[in-house]
This record gives sequence, C-alpha cells and structure tokens, in this order.
Amino acid sequence: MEGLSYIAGARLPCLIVNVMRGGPGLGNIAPSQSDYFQACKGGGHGDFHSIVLAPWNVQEMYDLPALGFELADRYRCPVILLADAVLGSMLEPALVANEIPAIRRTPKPWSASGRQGRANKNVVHSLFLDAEELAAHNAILQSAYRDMRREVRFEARLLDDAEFAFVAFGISARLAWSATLQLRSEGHRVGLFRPITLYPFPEIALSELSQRISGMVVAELNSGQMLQDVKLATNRSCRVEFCGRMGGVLPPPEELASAMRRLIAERPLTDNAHAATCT
Amino acid sequence: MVSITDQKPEPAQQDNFECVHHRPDSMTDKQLHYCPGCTHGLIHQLVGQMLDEFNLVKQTVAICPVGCAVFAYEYFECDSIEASHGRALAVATAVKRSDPSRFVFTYQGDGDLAAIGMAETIHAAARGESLTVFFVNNGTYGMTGGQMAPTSLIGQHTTTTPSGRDPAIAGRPIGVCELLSSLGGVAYLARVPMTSPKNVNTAKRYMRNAIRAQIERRGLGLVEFLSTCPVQWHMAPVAAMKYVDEKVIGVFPPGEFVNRLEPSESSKEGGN
Ligand SMILES: Cc1ncc(C[n+]2csc(CCOP(=O)(O)OP(=O)(O)O)c2C)c(N)n1
Ligand code: SF4
Repeated sequence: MEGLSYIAGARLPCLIVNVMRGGPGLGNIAPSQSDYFQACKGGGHGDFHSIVLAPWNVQEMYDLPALGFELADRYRCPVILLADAVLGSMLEPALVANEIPAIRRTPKPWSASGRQGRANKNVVHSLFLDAEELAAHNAILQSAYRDMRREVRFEARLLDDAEFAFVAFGISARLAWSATLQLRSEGHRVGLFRPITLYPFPEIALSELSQRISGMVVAELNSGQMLQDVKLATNRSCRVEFCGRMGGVLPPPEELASAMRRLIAERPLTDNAHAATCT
Repeated sequence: MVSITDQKPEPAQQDNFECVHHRPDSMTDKQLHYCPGCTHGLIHQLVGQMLDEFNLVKQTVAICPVGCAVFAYEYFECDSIEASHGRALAVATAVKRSDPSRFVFTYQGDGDLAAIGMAETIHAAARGESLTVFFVNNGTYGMTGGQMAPTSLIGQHTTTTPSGRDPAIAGRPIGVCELLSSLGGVAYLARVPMTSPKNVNTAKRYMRNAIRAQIERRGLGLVEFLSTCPVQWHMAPVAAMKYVDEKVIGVFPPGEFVNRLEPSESSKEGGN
C-alpha cells in the first residue's frame, strides 16, 4: 500500500491485478470482494485514487487489462483490475482477436530513463516538503480525478422497464444476473446494474436509476462495501437493501432472488444493512 | 595562487588563480544540506567524480533513498527516482531490467539498506543484479533523530538505546559486507572509512570497481562507506572521524571482501 501511494504521488502509470480472496489476514483462498474499500478508497496514505476496473467474465479478464494500461497512461495513475478467486480460476469461452493489436506506446517525456540527449534531467518523486508545493501537487491529482469521471463504465441489463434492480459487480453480478432471469420468469420486473468502473463510480447513472425504480438489492461478497457508494449515489430516493456473504462463501442465486422477492413484497430486511447474510 | 571552489569553473577565471578542484560536472550547483562534518557530502562528491570519470551522467538513473540523502536527486545531473524507504534495489532492478543499457546506482543509508530494505538488498545480491550500490553506514538513523540502526555498535548510545546498545535486548551489529560475501551474485564488495585523504583515494578505487561490476555485467557491486554522523553521535566533526578510525573499524574491518572482476590495469598497479 505504501508503494501504491508512492506510485500515485509520483504520477506513475501502472496496472495492478488483485484477485480477491477471503480475509482479513491470511484468511483463505476462496472468492471474496472484500478489498473494495482498499482499492476504491485509496488504500495507502494521502489523498489519492486509483482507477478500479471490475471484470465479470473471462472475456473482460482478457479485455480490461488493455483498457487498464491505456487509462493508466492517459491519467498517469495506478489502475487496479479487481477480480476474485472465481474469475481468477474459471474456464469459459472468450473471443480473442486473431491479431493482437500492436502495443500503443504513449510518449513519456517525464520518465527517468536516462537523459541521453535531453537538456534537463527528469526526477520521479513524491516528496514535497513545502506545504504549499504539496497542496499544488494535490490539486493536480484532484483535477486528474475530476477528468477521470468521463471514463465511467457500467452495464445496464433489463433496466428499461424495471421496477427493481440488483446492483452488483464482478462475480456477484453473475449471481445477480441468474437471480434476475429467475425473477423475470416469475413475472417480476427486475434488472441488473453492473458498475464496470468501481472508481470512478457510476453515481450519476445510479442516481437517475434510483429515481425511477422502487428499490435495489446490492449484492457483494463482503459486509457491504460498495453498498456505501450506492447509498451515497441514490441518496434515499429508493429503498436499498443488502445481500452479502463473507469468508469466501458463494451464495446460490436463489438467495439473492429471495432477498429481492422480500423487497418486492415490501417486507424490509433488517434495517441494519450491514447484516452480512440474507438467508 | 590556488583556489578550491565549490562552483564549477567559470570560463573567465581570474588571471592569478588556478582552479585545482571544482565541483564535478555531474553535480548541480545546489548547496548540499548536510550537517558540518557529515561525510554524506564527501561521498556525493565522489559519486559525481565517478559519473564524470566514466562519462555516465547521460545514461544514468540514480535511485535515491529515504534518509538524510533523500534529496540526493537535487545534487546530481542525472535522471533520478526517489524510492520508498528500503526499496531502492527493487526499483533499481526494475529500471535496469527494463533497459540494461542504463547505468543504475542506488545511494542508501544503513537504516534504508540494512533494516527496512534488507530483503531487497539480499535478494538483489542473490539474483546477481548488475547494479552499483553506494552504501553509507553511519551506524544510526540520521534523518529521524539518531535511532539505533542494525549497524549501531554494542554500547552505542542512541535515542532508542539511551543506555547503550545491549546485545541481550537489541542484538549485535550486522556486517553487510560479511553477510553478502556468501552470495554468488555479488561481483564486488568493499568497505572503506571516509576518514583521510588516503582512504578517500581508496574509496575511489573501490567505487571504480563497483561501477565496473555493472558495466561488465558481472553482478552486484557495492561499496560500504564508514561514514560519520557528528550530530546524532553528539560529537565534534574531528572526534567523529577519530571514532570511526578507533572504534568503528574494529567492528567493521575495511577492505575488499569480494572481487570477481578481471584485474584492470589500474587495479593491478593499485592506482587511485
Ligand atoms: C516506510 C518508512 N518507514 C520509516 C520512515 C521514516 N524514516 C525516514 S528516514 C529513516 C531512517 C534513515 O536512516 P538511514 O537509512 O541510516 O539514513 P541516514 O539518515 O542515516 O543517512 C526512517 C526510519 C519512512 N520514511 N518510511
Ligand atoms: S544527521 Fe547525521 S547523517 Fe544526517 S546530515 Fe546530519 S550528520 Fe549527516
């Protein structure tokens, strides 16, 4: 985390792949999404962010790294590919281009790679002892974070006529999608909202969605981390319930479906949205 | 008349002065911030002289430490990267492997290299990375106020060993050269006290070898400088020099520990 903070401070582009396992501590090697806070809220010291990409299938595990490198170069920041132990070990078909596109090398006139013919030296550092100087550097970082908002990516499935929605990323979105199809077959107007960029978070789209539906179930493999961002984005304009499992336990899609049925029947879950289970 | 100046020579020298010593071209004109009597400044000067002598400045990437030398990048004319505390050799490995035509050196204190960064140090040596390390052993954490370092002597008073380093509680000093000597990836390893003109000349000979270790791709080259920290040792500069010569070299004997280089003309002659 100290390294990540240095990378952000020195404005270095890089791609980090975190295949999340159960924690804290040594935890286990079962699938988890409990590093959402760590990835999306900085993780190291200092006011910084990384762009966080959340694949949900093998295709995106293949496609998103290329985007990750591109974004890292564009904004000179760390990009984190946040996967989990299911995505990290699953087999499924994916389309691979016959010809891998040539690597696009972004010029890096700032890099400390040896001066050669350059008149001035380049220094890569994150040390600004003078408070005003550091504040100016912080302002540069913050303006990059504002610019990043144009990179928001999400997928909306069956949301046009929806009354209720699952909000989920990564492997939880796969479970939520199965639950969505089951609920549709029962006649419920349910859809799925899947953030692909967890930072920047698709808060505007989610806010708009919250104003035209009745409720959402946020499904995560943690105690309710993205849930906080969903609540901030929706700002009480619809009901938000949570369905999650910790410790590497994968809930069956039926567990998510029944959480949604309860919401639809307007029988609130416990008010404590951090309750970890919804069985 | 003779002048010794901190400035690079101006084209128009005063007629009656002859410049016999000037700041190396590989150093900037920025005034060093080190305390009086601290040999960090002298070691910087030698690094600058070496970059001049080998004509390396345009292809060098310096990896700077966290410690009193955290601003080393302000003093050298080469591209530089400030690593986090202890990680200099990991950063250096990445730079060198991504472009082996670069000359990459690290400049590290004993807290940096031998405490928090010991794992990076040992593994870079074990992997035989062709890198050059300038290791400044002053037996303390100078920057943060004189805490005990792994290299502090038994009995040494530091802010974290106010009654003197007690081996029963704080262990015994780590000899970095002794420790690294067992690793096959090390091409050159030597230790020198920075206490006299003669020793400074020896230091330059050792530094040339540590640089050759990299240029000839033979593995890690490291020079350990027995340096002074008069401020945190609470000694006057001259007393600090005497302390190195009388006490420190008894625990950390100077000399060459590993030399896997082909003998060069100058080293055969024992030249400076
Ligand atoms: C990860 C981390 N831990 C601790 C520090 C605080 N710190 C700054 S300098 C230093 C010790 C430096 O001692 P040394 O490497 O011996 O260099 P010197 O100052 O003596 O030249 C420490 C512990 C830090 N900056 N980062
Ligand atoms: S604190 Fe010690 S090591 Fe640091 S500059 Fe002063 S004398 Fe040198």
